[in-house]
Amino acid sequence: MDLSDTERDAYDTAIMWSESGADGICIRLSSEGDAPMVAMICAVTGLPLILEGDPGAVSAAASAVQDSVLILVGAESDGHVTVHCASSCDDASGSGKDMVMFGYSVLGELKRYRSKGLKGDECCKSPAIADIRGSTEDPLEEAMHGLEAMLCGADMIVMSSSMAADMCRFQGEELADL
Amino acid sequence: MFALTVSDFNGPDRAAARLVDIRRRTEGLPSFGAICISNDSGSVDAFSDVCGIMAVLWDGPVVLRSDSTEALARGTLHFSGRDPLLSGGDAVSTAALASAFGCPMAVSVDDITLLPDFPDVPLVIATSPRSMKACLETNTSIRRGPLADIPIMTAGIPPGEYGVSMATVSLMSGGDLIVLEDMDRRSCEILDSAAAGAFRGWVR
Repeated sequence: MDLSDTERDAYDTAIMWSESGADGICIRLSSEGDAPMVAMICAVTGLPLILEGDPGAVSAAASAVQDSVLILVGAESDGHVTVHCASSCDDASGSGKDMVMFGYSVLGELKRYRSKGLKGDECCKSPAIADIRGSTEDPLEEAMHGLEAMLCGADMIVMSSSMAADMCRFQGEELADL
Repeated sequence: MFALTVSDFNGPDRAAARLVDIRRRTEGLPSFGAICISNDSGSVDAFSDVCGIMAVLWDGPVVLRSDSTEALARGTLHFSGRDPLLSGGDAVSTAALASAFGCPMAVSVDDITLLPDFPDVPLVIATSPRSMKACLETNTSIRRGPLADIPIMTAGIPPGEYGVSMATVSLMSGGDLIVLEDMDRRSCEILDSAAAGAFRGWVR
């Protein structure tokens, strides 16, 4: 969701995601004034939040939330998880962040990263996020992109469509005990 | 590569109409380059008739699928020189047929050990997983075992969203030829897009 929407829309969207069974919410921030809204969403939904966008806005929001752990993309703050947006496996392996995030166009790099980690490369053992938002507007196709991300080894998938997320959850449950 | 299925159940005219429909659904999708002619009727003559008209109307790769080696033999006669992939029937009899016609054949993992006398027949491993999970397990097991270099054909993919998921899993876990019972145009587009990703190096 995007906090450039009105506060009411952002709040309602967060509640909708929460009630639809999302395991977390990714929020794009545009200004330091977004911090109170982030704190409220965090308190009301109780879900893990991924914060991205303007680094100053992300840092400000992270400072405003002390009782929950946030996942911060492109910013750092004590007590929160940091994420590096990786363009390749090599880029990810040297990031030094808590997590790495790969876009849909570089899912193959995520797979390489995961393979190297499984073979014992200590630099490739961070949890990996696949960000497939924007890869398509079709929920069925987005669900298949989510499935591809799972098969590439993603630990967490950020997606746009609740319908696609439901399908991915169903797929994940079937494949989970392999 | 994906193949959509043409059944012989309703005769050659309906099969020809089905082929027109398949062309419309897969137009401009390069990974949809094959058809599978299926002997659902159980009739050798019906299968032969449909193979006859498909041989005229379709010039791409073909899978011939039947439980009857006799039906496969009759069908193969229509595709002389085009190397159809033979699937089904008794493994040894089908291998003898494939050897005689110079065709490849699809064979299950369990039956592959029955064919030491046919080293000249190119083999494809035939799988028919019942679920997405089974598909992933089977393909992964084959790709990590001694048969890793043999192409995998995943057959019996059902229509609908679950079928798209199964086909995607097969594609990403090393499936080389995926036979779909039926798919709408949009699902075909999604699978073609996934195949394009696979060709960029996501598979294996």
